[in-house]
Amino acid sequence: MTTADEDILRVEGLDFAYPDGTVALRGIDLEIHRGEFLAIIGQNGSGKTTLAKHFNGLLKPSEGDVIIFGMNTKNASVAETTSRVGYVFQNPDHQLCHRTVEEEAAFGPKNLGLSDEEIKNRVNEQLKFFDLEARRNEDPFFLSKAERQRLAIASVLAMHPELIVVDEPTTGMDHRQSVAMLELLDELNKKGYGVVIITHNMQLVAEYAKRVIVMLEGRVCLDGSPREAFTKTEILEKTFLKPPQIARLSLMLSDFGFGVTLNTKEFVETLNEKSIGTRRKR
Amino acid sequence: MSTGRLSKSTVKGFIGYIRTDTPFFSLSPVTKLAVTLILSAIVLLIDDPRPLLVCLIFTLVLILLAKAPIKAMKLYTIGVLWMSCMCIFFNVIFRQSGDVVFQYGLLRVTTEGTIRGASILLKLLSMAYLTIFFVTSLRDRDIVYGLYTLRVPYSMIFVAALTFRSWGLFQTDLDTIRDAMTSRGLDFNKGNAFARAKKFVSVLVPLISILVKRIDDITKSVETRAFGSGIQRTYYHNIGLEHIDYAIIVGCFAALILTGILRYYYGLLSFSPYGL
Amino acid sequence: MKMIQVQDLWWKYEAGQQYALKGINTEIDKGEFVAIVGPNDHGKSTLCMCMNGLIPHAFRGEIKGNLEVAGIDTIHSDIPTISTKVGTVLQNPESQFVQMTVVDNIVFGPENLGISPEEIKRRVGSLTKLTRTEGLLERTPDELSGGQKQRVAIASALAMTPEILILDEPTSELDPVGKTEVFSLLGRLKREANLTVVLVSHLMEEIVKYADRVMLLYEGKIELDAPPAEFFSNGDYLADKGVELPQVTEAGYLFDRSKRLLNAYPLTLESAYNAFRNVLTEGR
Repeated sequence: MTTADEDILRVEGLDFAYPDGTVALRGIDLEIHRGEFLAIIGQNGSGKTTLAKHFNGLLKPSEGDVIIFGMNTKNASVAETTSRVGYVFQNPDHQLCHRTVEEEAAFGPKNLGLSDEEIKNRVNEQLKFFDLEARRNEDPFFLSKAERQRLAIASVLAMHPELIVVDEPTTGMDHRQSVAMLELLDELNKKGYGVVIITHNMQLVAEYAKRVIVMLEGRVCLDGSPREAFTKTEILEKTFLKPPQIARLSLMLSDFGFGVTLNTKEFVETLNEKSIGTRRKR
Repeated sequence: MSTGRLSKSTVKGFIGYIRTDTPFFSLSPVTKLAVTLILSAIVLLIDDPRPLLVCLIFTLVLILLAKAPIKAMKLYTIGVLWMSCMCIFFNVIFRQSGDVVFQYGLLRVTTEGTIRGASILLKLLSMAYLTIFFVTSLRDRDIVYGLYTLRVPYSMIFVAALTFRSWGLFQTDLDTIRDAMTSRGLDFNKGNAFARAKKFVSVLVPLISILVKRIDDITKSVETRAFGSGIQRTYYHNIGLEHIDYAIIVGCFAALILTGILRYYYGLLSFSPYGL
Repeated sequence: MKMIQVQDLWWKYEAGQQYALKGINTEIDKGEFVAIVGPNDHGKSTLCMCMNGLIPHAFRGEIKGNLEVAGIDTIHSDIPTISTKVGTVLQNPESQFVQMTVVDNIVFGPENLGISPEEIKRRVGSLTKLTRTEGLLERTPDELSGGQKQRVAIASALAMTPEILILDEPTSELDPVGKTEVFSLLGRLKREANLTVVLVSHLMEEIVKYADRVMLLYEGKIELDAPPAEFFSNGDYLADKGVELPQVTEAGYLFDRSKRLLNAYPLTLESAYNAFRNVLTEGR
């Protein structure tokens, strides 16, 4: 039985090279705890996706170990690991293969060998949560991009994993859709699911992620809260990642006592606080 | 990655790159195709193992000049030896005529069998090495440029180019789809042949839907670049044949005709010196 | 002469329940850089496809009204003719790469138009310089990053020597480096090339740097059309329509809606720094 603070995922000395020899990951050490909301960021080719694929056992380390809920991925089959760590791919079209939304959601539980009763319950639960009840009998091919993305996550969640990895959940979405998606993931996190997102959207990272892992050339070069990460400007420069505009602005105003602000609301509150004195003078 | 003397070729993953510092690189792809086909035809016309040996040596020289990687030669040689073993086996064992050279129970090796067997082996090896020559002196794009030279209709050339270009994407999509299925508990290695086939079919559906969407995007992209405008197309690359290309192609044809004459008019190059 | 003139344009896709574009009226001058923003599926891409002739010639549906680009009536012309005036860059870096090498992809358009090889060579020379793709000519697409592929896509569109360049979310599938590469190129195009640019994007921080005008397309209609400063001063309205402001502008808006302390809502990081520093030192 794991306690609240216990690691659900441990990575020790992970090195990984692809069959053709390219080294993708070097010396990764990290722990993920129950109920975390973590973002992995970095340029394409930095190893983000490669690392994430080790989390559900799709890839096995060349050197080192990845231990998921006490199981070493080298000794466990992918079927065993994927029931505890879910992975949602960037393009939902790579996942969706059934003729109806309902069948799609039932796919995971079916592979787990659950009873028909249990499968039905899980499908209903997920379709309700992801607001896809009305689309139950439709063909996934004809759903909108946002609906397909939700269906992809729903079908992975139907397996009741304790940790879910979502690769680029907001590519191609507009502001409202992106926020809705992250709100959904945040709600899942509050319900107890561990959430790992791979993303380029620094604004959303600042708003929702509690922990950020920055990858550069196969190594973890930063591991901390978004606030901590955004202050380390020299490291971020090397990765060509920029903190959200408002964070950069607050850093520029550090002479006036500003710390890193993660969103505009926080910035304006700080600005009001710091400028009360000068404004009163007028 | 320095690609100074290397350039991407066909059969990626197997051979990968071709050498650009060989005498063959600047020849037209049509020439290389002609050399391969015509020399294969010549080899097929000859039965006598002695001239076949000469042909084999000639093809080996070609490969060495083309600086083909040894890895390719090893693989092809083993493949051919395996195939020819079967042919030789049947020829050697079941031909009953000719002087017996060696006998062990039902296994009877005769002179006729040996000669026919050698002939087959040399033919297969020559043709295999000609294939190596073809593949290691041409890149994907050279094949397409060759199609231009041959005045193949542009729609076919476009499809060829697009297929070559998309092959890598197709592979990546297939891998990603398999990963996505595996990530939801589908074990591709479990179950009998029928169950496994069914699982494979479930990979096809997303593949086709991705293909359809990609074709839609590609169509928009090419239409806005005047594809299918009906205007007479021009070609940026210089894709004609040089004097040296013509010389080589004509030379090969001449050799083919000469072989034909020697074989069917004069009765040489066949099994007749051996009384077969 | 207006470079793009749209008069009472209506369009309904054959499979659509309602009109995707409802009476669009607008004009774009030569050399203007116009950004189109708005929620997804509200008509931005549809309007772009009307401008390059894909609508109505490659799609089935009903069209009403007029659209002229560089003097050509798109509705009664054909896509190849329009393509000599309008270049298009789409979202997906992979699908626009339809040949085996960079140079083949760039020359694809002019070859289709029957342009002479000498002229094509000249265009390749100047375009690769502009798009910083000189060293990439013999590369295959799997050797290129997303940003490089999109720069090649832009070069390929410009190879047709269009007067108008339409970019429909060119950076949404790129990583931050790729996004920077593409926007730097757009900046160079704005300064050096004599192009009229129509850009659909969600990246407000970049849009304010380059756009002369920002247009909101909502439910098939142009609901707002103004230079960036004016456009982004409508904080509540834009929030209601699902359009975000650049963060620094939003900060200005939340801090001082009535603009008693600030003269204007800042649009860029630099102007925001100056404005807020003044507030902190002098109270205004």
